[in-house]
Parts: sequence; C-alpha cells; structure tokens
Amino acid sequence: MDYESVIGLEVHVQLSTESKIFSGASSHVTDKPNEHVDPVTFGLPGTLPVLNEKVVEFALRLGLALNCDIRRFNRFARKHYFYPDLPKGYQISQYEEPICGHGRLQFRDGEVTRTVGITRIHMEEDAGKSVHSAERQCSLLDLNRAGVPLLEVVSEPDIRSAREAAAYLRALRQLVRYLELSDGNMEEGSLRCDANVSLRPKGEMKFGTRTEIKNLNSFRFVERAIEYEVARQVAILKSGEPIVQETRLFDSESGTTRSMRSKEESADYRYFPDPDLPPLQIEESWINAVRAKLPTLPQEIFQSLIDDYGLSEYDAAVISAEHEYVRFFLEAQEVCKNPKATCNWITSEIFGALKQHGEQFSELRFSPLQLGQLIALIDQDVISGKIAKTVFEELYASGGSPNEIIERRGLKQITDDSAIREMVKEALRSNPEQVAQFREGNAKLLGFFVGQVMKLSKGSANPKLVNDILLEELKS
Amino acid sequence: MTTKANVENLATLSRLLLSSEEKAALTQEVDAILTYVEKLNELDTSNVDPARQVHGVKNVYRKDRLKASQLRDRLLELAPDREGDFIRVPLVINQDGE
Repeated sequence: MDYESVIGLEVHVQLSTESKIFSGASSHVTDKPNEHVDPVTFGLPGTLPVLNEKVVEFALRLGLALNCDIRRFNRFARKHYFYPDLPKGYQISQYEEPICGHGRLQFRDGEVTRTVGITRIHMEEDAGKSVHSAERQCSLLDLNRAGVPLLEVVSEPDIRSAREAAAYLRALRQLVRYLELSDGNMEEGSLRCDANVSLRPKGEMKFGTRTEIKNLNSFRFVERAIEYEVARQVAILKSGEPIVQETRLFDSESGTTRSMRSKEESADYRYFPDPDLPPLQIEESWINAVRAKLPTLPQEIFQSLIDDYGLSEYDAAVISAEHEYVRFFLEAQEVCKNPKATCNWITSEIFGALKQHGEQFSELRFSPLQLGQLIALIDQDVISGKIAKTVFEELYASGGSPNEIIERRGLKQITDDSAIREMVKEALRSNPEQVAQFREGNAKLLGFFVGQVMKLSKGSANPKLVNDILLEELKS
Repeated sequence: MTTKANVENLATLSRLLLSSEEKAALTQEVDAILTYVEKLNELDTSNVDPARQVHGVKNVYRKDRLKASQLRDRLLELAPDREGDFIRVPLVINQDGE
C-alpha cells in the first residue's frame, strides 16, 4: 500500500525586541549568566508582568503578512509545568484565544508554488536555559532567556514531504527577516521547530495517528528527522502494528528519533487565564496602522524581479532571499538601468568577495549608488569589464566614488583611435613572426595580438577598438 | 474523588518522589480538599459569567524600553545554591536526555 505523509510544523520565533515580554530586562543575548534578570524574570511573589507593546505589534505584523484573522479580544493563559528553568512554575502563553488564526503562507518549493494554512499564532514567554552535569549531579540555570518574547506559529497539516517542510520553514524565516521582527537564526535558537508527522493510505481523507518530533535546530535536521520518521512509520504500518501517539526526540548524531516517555499531555498543563494580565482589546486603527507599514513581501518581490526587471527565476530567488539584497539591487539598478548586470555583480562579485573575506552583506563599505555608477561606467565604455574588477577591489576594500578611483589611478579606457593605432603598430612591429603566421592563415593569433596591445595599454584600451584596428592593420 | 493514580500522576508532574505512606496520606488529604471544594458545584452558576478578572481594566502596555534592574546581585543572593553566576539546582536531566 502507498502512504501519504501528513506534516504540520510548530515554529517558535524569538522576537528581536529590546526588552522582555513582561518586564524591562534586556532580551539580548549575553555570555554572562543571569545578567538580564529582574524580579519579574525570577517570578518573585508580588511582582506583576506588564506586556511589551512591541510584542503585540510584531504579532500583528506577522499575522497580517500571513493573511490571518486578528482576534480583537485577547487574553493570556498560564501553562503549568515544573522545571527549574521556569521559575514561576508556569509559562505565560495564550491558549484558547491566540492573537492570530486562519492564515496561509505561500512559498516556492523548487519550481512549484505551494500554500500551507496557518492554524494560529500566539504570544508567549521563553524559558531559561539549563546546563546539566551528570558527573557532578547538578544542573546550572541561566535565566537570561526567561521572559524573552516568542511567537509560536502553528501550521495546518498541509505539508506532504520532508523537502516541503524545509521549504516552508525557509519561507517563514525569510518572512520574519523581511518583517524585521526576528533574525531567524536557527543555529542560535531564534527559530525553533517541532514537527507533527502522520501517515495515511493515499486517497484516504482521515488522518492517521501522529507523533511529534522535537529538537530540530537546522533546516537539514528538519528534513532528515521527517524522512526518518516517515520511514519508521511506514515500516510499522506495513508490519500491521499501530502507531503510538507520542513525543519523539531527534538525535542529530544518529539521524534517528526516539520516544520521550515523560512528556505532559495538554490536560496536565492545567491552563487557566492569567489573572495578573488584563485582557487586550485590539483596535481596528492599530491593525490598520500596522498593515499600512508592511513591507512588500518576498513572493511579490520575487515576481516583480521577474516581470519588471527581467531576471531569471533563479536570479530572482537569490536576490529576493534577503531584504537587504533587494534594497541594494533596486538602488543600484536605479542608477545604471541595467538590472541583469546589477544582479550579476551582486551575486558573483559581491557574494564572492564576502565569502573570500568571511564578511557579512551588512558590512559592505560601499553603497548601492556606487555599484550602480561602476556598472554605468562599463556600459558607457569608460572602462572595460576587466578594469571594473580592479575598481571594484578598491571599492570593496574602502568604498569611494568609482569615477574618482578611475581618475586617480589613471584607469580610464583609451578610446582615442590614433593612440590605439600606435600601440597596435608597436605590437605588430615587435612580433614579425606571428604577423607572418597570421597572414598565412593562422586566424587564432588575433587573440595573441589583442593581448599584446592590452598589455601595452595596461589594460585600459577599449577592446573592441583594439580588435577593429588590429584587423585593419593586419590586412593592410 | 481522587484515586491513588491521580496522586501518582501529580507527583510525577511535580517531580516529587513519594513513599507509599506519603502517597496514601496525600490521597486522603487531597480527597478531603476536593470534597470541600465540591460543595461549590452545588450552586447553579449557569447564568454567571466566569470571573477571570474583577477590576475591568484592559490594555495595559509598556513601551519596549530597557529598564535594567538594580536588584540583579540581590536576586542571585536569594538562590539557595550558586556556581559563579549560575544558579545550581539538583540534576534535572531524565532518561530522555531532556
């Protein structure tokens, strides 16, 4: 029998606010343990949580970008479980009344466009971090992360393969970065993913029994863990056994998942409305203000790069991957009006140099305007493509005006006929043997002569003129 | 009414190791508490809204601004056990490695 995979993802997005969700302690990462703590973080009796407005704004931003319905009347709930990294004995979350519901995320999986439903998005606080030492029989707690704001994004079980799950997650990461509400860094835990996986016979509408896989902290692990889990479930079903509903932990060393017996069931969390936090009535005007400030979203930009700027699908995907690439591309091409060349300069020269120097795009020392000017100078035949790379090296190292660099370093292309003719004549004079061979029919030698002339001009002769004049002189 | 299994489940969720004597005693105690609370169910509350909150306040926000606490060191002093700036607690790792 053939089975179909039914996959839904629960993604925790760590928000890049200045302060925590319910207190003014910093939500930034620090190496110093228990540095960003205050009485609210410690959950001391008598403290009151006060909601960070920015968290609601970020939730609205993500909800609107995902076409969700926004809940006007919101409440927070307490989710109880006992673990030392949760000092209060409960996590403040949303339960029956999440801020966003019924949305969808559209994304590309290879050549196809897919849409996955969004069940809900809710706001909650993160827990602290504990380091365990079995040898010394103790755990060490660091509460810096306790109270850092999270949005949990739960998808519908619309995903059908491990690859599609990874594509969904990449699209969600791209979106939260465009919306500037999280850095989306999976390795550092800014984006954390759990996967619900079940199987059903192809054509069947009813869902099978699902398992939940935890601990997926890279795109590759998400894919590998789901592949493993699907294969495991297929084997169980083929042997006629039932699937046990349970939480499983992915082990990245072995690439397998294993059962976690001690996981609480929903009823064990004893959710109830948090009396410390007054409800939120979200006004229409706030929603409209957030909507008005939404940036153009990745899918729209992708399409516009193809339709309005003539980029290939591949190039459009590379440029639209990050908002900063898009901004750079648009500003540079505005100057040179050559989108294709702008794209090539970004994806080969800039990305290449960044990789070589181990630097980030945000660290570039020159502006899109300057790249645009450089490309325009090539297009106007002021410099050759080869010289442009020399100019780019300086631009990359220290920025500056391409025009000024060219003037200062005397890199301007020689487009003066008589000057080039002099150099051509000299090249022919110094290589009489090759001239004879060329005249006897060895046409390939033309390249050799071009090279000689370029050398004489220190690379600054216009190659097309060199070519034309060489042919004239060789034939005369 | 509570059964012994409920107390065992509560103990597991609370990460408590109970002896069988403690379990028996707690079952009786929890039973008594629940019987007492059960009396409330005798009232007809079908026309009463759940009292999630009594003061009617809504929309209380703070701006996203840092307000570093001056109490950090004193908070850490409250910890029963420390290792440098970490708070030290009994090992909480279980057989799942969680």
